[in-house]
Amino acid sequence: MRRRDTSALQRRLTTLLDHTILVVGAIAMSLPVLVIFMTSTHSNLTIATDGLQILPGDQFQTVYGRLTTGQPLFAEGGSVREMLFNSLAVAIGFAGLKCLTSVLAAYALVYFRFRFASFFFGIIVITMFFPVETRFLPTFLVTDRLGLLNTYSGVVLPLLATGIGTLLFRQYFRQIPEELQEAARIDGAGPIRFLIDILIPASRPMIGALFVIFFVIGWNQYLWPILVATSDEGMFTLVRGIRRAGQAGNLGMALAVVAILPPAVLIISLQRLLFRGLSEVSH
Amino acid sequence: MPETPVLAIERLKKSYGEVEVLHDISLSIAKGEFLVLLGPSGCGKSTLLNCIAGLEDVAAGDILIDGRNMTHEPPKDRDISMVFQSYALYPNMSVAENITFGLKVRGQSRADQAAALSRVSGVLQIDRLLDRKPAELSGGQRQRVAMGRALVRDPKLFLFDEPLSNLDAKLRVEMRAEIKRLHETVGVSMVYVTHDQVEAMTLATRICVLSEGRIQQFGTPEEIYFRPRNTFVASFMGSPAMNLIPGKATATDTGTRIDLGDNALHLGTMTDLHGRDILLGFRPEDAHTGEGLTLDQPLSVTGIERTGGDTFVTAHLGGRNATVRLPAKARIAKGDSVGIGIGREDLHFFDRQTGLRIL
Repeated sequence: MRRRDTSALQRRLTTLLDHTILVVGAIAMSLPVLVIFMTSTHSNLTIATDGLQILPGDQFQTVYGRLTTGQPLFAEGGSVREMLFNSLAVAIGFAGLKCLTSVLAAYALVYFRFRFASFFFGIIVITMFFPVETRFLPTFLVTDRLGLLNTYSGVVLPLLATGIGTLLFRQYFRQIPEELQEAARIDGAGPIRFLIDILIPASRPMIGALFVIFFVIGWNQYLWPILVATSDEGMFTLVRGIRRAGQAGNLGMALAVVAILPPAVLIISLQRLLFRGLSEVSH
Repeated sequence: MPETPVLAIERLKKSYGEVEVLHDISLSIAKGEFLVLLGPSGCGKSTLLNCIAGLEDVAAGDILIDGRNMTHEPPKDRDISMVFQSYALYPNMSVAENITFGLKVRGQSRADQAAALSRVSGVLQIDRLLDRKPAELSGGQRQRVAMGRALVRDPKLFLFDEPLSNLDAKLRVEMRAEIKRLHETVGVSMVYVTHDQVEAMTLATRICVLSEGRIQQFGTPEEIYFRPRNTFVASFMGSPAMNLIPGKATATDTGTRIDLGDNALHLGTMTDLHGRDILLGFRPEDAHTGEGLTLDQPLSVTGIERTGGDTFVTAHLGGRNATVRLPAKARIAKGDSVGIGIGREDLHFFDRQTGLRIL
């Protein structure tokens, strides 16, 4: 009897410890977000004199009212709605095209035995060592020559050129049994049919998970959109609007809160899919 | 004029790069036959099946299905269907969609698909599962669905790649009976790959024993079991395996003497054997106490294994361990001596050098 008591106590202590760690972690992660929100409800004067705030202020309606009027926030244009749209266009365009190209490249690499496949795979993986920040000048030049400055394509396309998606999908496809493709061949399904009817539906969790991750990456792009949008504030994304509004003021803080919302909603609502997709690739 | 074989393989060779894995395979089966490709892992049986299916290219030779040369046709045009070891059900589709996918791809009408589906699901008793996803099925149910997908197209030839190896022992026996029933009622031609000799013996009308990419023997289950062509087939078939004891045959006044070193056996005259180094073969179940041709010396029991239904006794004979099957309730203990006799027709003689059957 006594032994069972101690083991029950031990178990309870372990649970307590686990939860303490989780609670501390959660607070550490979410506290900055709370601080940003609270600070955004104070006047700029309070922020300038007293710094960041943890308690709500009296300026909520004034500040957030400005965001919802639909009026441009800056001299050359750039309403919240416009910036939100731009950010979504970049994030969705980036994530969508990234998933599409990665799936197709990985499909070619895994299911078609062609010469130099591993060489091409190597080339694709190498791009991961050259993020867009390391190749601003040549990439800007190419984008300019293609006449894509100040366009969504100009923002999105150069960002696509990294191999991480192809790498992850390749690993994922390789662990799908080869017999599945053989069964499809015997059933008379050609390569495109197999891709569309079987492989993509079977990879839905993985595609969903990577879409979410790429969405966040695209959403948070900062430097490259600034470079490409040379003339037009109508091309501002939310992340850039924060900087333009001044991240130390209440307007900038409020924009930051707005900027956090879409990725947060996406991740929370697709949480299950995200974990399923990513845990499947790891074994 | 003889009927066209449903499957004929002529001088087939298959290589991966420089390595030839199938050497000169030729065989043919008539319509309605159940061919089992049997052999240890790595013998090339699955490769041969994949060649028949068209999933692998062949290096040389021809594959004829129902008289038509299909050697270089893609799998979908060969009029075959296949059940895979992992079942390979499409995970995103329901059972019904899995079964009719092949029909849908071939552009059959919805009405035809529905009719075919109900026919097959009736035969396999999977009507209640049609809306489920493969992940929601048990192993045996997945197996049935995989067979349904193969059956639905009504092909000339069914290919099975070790379909029962992922099932537990009890279910395996049930599904084995199911496949046999299917073959008997639907009357289709089947090619079935397995490493399990019991499956081969119970299901096949013809067995092709393969080892190291060569056909060791091609024949009916009876021929394979009772007249193995070489020592490989002899020792592969049967459990426990056939005893193969090295010996030397010499002529005596009264007939032929097989000298086994520490023992000997006397037979009627068999001139084919005289002066040769042989392997004397007999199956554990063909050895009896005190019947048939008796060994000169009784055997001293070194080990006993009781499986319930049988008692297997091991004893030294000619420098090897021989196994003898005795009745379940045989009163016997370690160290006992037993006189063993074997029926003349149950003795097998192989050449010790080539391993080939002499008589």
